[in-house]
Amino acid sequence: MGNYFQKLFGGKEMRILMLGLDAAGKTTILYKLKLGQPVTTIPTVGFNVETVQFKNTKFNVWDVGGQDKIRPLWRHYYTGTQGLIFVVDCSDEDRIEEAKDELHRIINDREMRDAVLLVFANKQDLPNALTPSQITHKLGLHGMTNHQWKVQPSCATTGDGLGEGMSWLHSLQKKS
Amino acid sequence: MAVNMDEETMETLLNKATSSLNREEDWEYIMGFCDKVNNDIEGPQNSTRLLAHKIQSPQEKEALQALSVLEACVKNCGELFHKELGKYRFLNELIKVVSPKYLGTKTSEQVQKRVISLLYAWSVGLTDQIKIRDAYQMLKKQGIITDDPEFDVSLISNPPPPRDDRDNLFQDEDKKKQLERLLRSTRPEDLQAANRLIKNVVQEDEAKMDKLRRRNKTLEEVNNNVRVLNEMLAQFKPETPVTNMQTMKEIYDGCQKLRPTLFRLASDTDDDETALMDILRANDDVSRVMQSFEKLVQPRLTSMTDRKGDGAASEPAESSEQKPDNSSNMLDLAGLSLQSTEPPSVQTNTDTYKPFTAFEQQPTSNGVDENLLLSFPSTNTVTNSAATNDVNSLFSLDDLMANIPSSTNTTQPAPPTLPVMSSMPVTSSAPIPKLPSPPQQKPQLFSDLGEVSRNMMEQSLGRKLEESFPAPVTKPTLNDLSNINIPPKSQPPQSVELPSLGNLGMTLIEPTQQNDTPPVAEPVPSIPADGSLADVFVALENIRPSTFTPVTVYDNNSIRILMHFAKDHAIPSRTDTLVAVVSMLSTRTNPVQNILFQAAAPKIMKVKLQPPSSTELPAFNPIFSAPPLTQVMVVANPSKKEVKIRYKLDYKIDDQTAISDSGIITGFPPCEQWGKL
Repeated sequence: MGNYFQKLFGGKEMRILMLGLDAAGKTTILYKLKLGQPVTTIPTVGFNVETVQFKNTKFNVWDVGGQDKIRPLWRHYYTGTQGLIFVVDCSDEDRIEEAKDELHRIINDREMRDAVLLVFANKQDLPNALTPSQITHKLGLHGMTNHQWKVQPSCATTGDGLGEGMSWLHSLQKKS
Repeated sequence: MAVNMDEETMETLLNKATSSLNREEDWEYIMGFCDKVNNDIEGPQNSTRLLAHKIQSPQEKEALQALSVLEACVKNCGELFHKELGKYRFLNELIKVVSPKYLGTKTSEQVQKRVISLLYAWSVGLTDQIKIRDAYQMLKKQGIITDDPEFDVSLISNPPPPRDDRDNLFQDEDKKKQLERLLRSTRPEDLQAANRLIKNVVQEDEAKMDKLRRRNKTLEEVNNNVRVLNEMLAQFKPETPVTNMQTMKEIYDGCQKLRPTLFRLASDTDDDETALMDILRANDDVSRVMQSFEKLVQPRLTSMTDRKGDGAASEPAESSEQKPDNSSNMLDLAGLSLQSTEPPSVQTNTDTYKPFTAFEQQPTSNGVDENLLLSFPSTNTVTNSAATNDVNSLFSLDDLMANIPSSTNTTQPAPPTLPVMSSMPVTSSAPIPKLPSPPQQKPQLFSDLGEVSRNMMEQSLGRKLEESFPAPVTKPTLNDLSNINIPPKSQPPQSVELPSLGNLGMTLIEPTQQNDTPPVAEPVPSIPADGSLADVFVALENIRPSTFTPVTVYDNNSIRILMHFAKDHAIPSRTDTLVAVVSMLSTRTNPVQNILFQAAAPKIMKVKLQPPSSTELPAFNPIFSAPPLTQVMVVANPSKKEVKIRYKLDYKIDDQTAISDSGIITGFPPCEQWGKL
């Protein structure tokens, strides 16, 4: 019945997995998308899951804690994921290599082969933030041919860039 | 994904990326160029042409930056670019840079080196492009490349992400499965449960990490203390100022405080063998350094501080060298001797056997230790008052020894040899009184010791002894003793346990202190470094059982072996020893024969099994059950490690069936409780 209505009104669902190193801003992005206002967050142990309506698409966004210790749990969320949002703290140049390794590890997983990749180059408001093209290079995205990807500069607290990112996901959703 | 670079062409981007005005590599333009390569029609073909031109630039900086762009393209522009790279059209341009026939003479060394290292990395890493390898081999054949540069995998591509094998958080398979199931569910309460599960597991893990951190902190603290104290001990000289010694004492005290923590850590650490090894090693280190401190500094420090605090009169008594374990006992003794009100029998246990240690050591000597004077009262009138002041060092003891022969009655057997002497300080632990020569007949060697001692005691007490001496029991043993060879110098002093006589010795010494005789200093009691048990023997009837839970060693084929622990050390001076009684019971309906129970300990410990009471057990009789087979086991554990003993048990249950079993005995009482179980 639900599917029927969804088809009728053109509404679609998309399972989105949001990952990234700890303190990248995943939870802030999730609640900024959901509530439209910045929230104060604590490090996520476990996960948050929210439904975000964007245009006519219902995004089920899973925001999973990114602390080193719980990263091995990420793979439990892969199944059925259509889009990966990978959040990068652009002011944290020291850990960009770590972020790159994690990203490649996720995206090379069999379960994630069909997922599209949206990278939020987050914290663009901070001084010395890496630019989106630097992020692209440092994450080694140019060589990535098996996934559709986009690097979107963002600032989670103000919401800058989040809409653009979601709309890119939405556009891909329409095509598929 | 180039930002604001739509109006740029590949050529302008490359110009900007390789501009000699750039202070450093400009990734904005480099990545912009890569984007163009990826997105433009015929991007790879055009890019290699442009790059080749730049790489051949006479300007070194331009050429080097172009090589950086090339490297970035190899990493970021995928297979299409690799194909273009692997064509002779491009490779020839690179070869020109290094070949002396072309530009080789004009190109800077750095550029050439970089080109060669790139070619080499690609020839190894990009195995699909065989022409790269050919080109590289050709350059090698021509002698342009002499040695392969170091292979740098990062030149080829982004290193493959490391395998994800660190899932140690959810080691519990059940929990892992549960989490997977909960996460697949769409019910909100399942998701909440999943969240809770993760949080719990993370919390547990954190607690574990916390433990680990504490452990590392303790280990670090111990190691630091040991290192500092070791260094200070290495530099220690007799003239080292007291303040330094006091600092050392403080560190020593710190070590002492840390030891229980180490024990606790060791018992907590059941899951991590390397960590346990670390803890045990730290414990070894700390005991070693503490021992050296006790040997080197402690006596000196004690004597110095005491000299400061007290008058010279009490000096000899207090300059005694004492091992901390025994120090309280010794203090009690000193106090007793000064007050002289308490009956001597109050003194029990730990020090009681000491005089006999001396006997055993020196069965044929006559006048070295004044303990021995007790046994040869008529033969020796030496007063060692000169030497009693300071017998802390072997040196002064040697002096003492040297004095003796001249004043010794020559009718006695030959004076002992020096090596034996030097073991003396370790043997006597009770203050040695100066004695008047008792009016005794010259006794046969050891023959009437009980009588002699009794007389002496009565004499010094000035009254008849209330308790009678159980001397007869001990006589034969003492006679045996006189035949024992003198152990070599390195051998620890060990005595046969003769409690009754030991008490006698104690009572003898105690009252003599009333004669205002300054007690001779107390040498360090003796735990041999190797924990040797060669001379230890514990008679079964002298063992006092403890309340510590007995251990079931073996329970098989209706044969049961239990191990009960004794209250006391094997010898009071051997505070590293533990006595256990191994008892074997059979409930078999047929006799068990040829029973052989053997035990072995790790190198750092010693285990000794005394002969068993029997080697067979009769068939079980429910009405009249036979006594169990018993065997006394002595364990020496000088390094205070957790005791693990391996045993091997052989027996025959009938003529055809011999059974051999082995295993490990654990569950020993903690070392620090030994002797007071």
